[in-house]
Amino acid sequence: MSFFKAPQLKVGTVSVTTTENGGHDVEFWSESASNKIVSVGGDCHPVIADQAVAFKDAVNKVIAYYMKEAIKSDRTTLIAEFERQGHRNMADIIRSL
Amino acid sequence: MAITTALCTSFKVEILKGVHNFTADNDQFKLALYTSSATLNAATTAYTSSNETSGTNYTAKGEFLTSVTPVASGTTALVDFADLTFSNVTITANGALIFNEVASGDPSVCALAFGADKTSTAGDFTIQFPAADASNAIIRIA
Repeated sequence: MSFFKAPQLKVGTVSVTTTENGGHDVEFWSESASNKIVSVGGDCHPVIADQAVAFKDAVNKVIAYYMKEAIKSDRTTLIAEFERQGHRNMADIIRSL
Repeated sequence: MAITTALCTSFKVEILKGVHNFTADNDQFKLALYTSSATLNAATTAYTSSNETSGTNYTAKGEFLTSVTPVASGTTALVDFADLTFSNVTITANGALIFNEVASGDPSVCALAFGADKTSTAGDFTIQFPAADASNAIIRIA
């Protein structure tokens, strides 16, 4: 019987997500952000875990909403810049997205 | 030839020599992508261009990682990185190598196997790091 627990160096597991002909959608990023902000431990009390999951869901929705607003604002800036430089077709493409 | 998820043995020696500094805002570490022809494992000692992924908008040596300053969770010390996205790329990769771009010789930190070929076509290729806790973080000293 050993009373000494040797230190261990460990490496975690990454996941990979890819897309085709476009980037990730807002929901992907909002979920990624909420996963970084709220982590629910596997061994915490079920009541606490439920509250944490509910909070995480609320955070997810708030992030998604403001991400969409940020995208709209950025597109407004792009459209204005394209029109200012006489590229009306480019502005129309951005507007149609 | 295969990619196996592992902390590089040379890295374990180098952290005892003070070679690596994971403090945030300290652009040091990069993540490079590799094809299934690459051999990456605990014996890997440094970045190599051999069998590195190539494709539209992918640059050799990959991209810088955004490090989160190491913290302790209970008795476990851990390191985390922000998720990394290669944007608007057309590439296929089977694994990755995290290495120290600043230290002499680009010493490796860990090899990461994706388990299968992952492909993006004119899109995003995103590496998501695990939760920064004592059980899952990307690098842990328990």
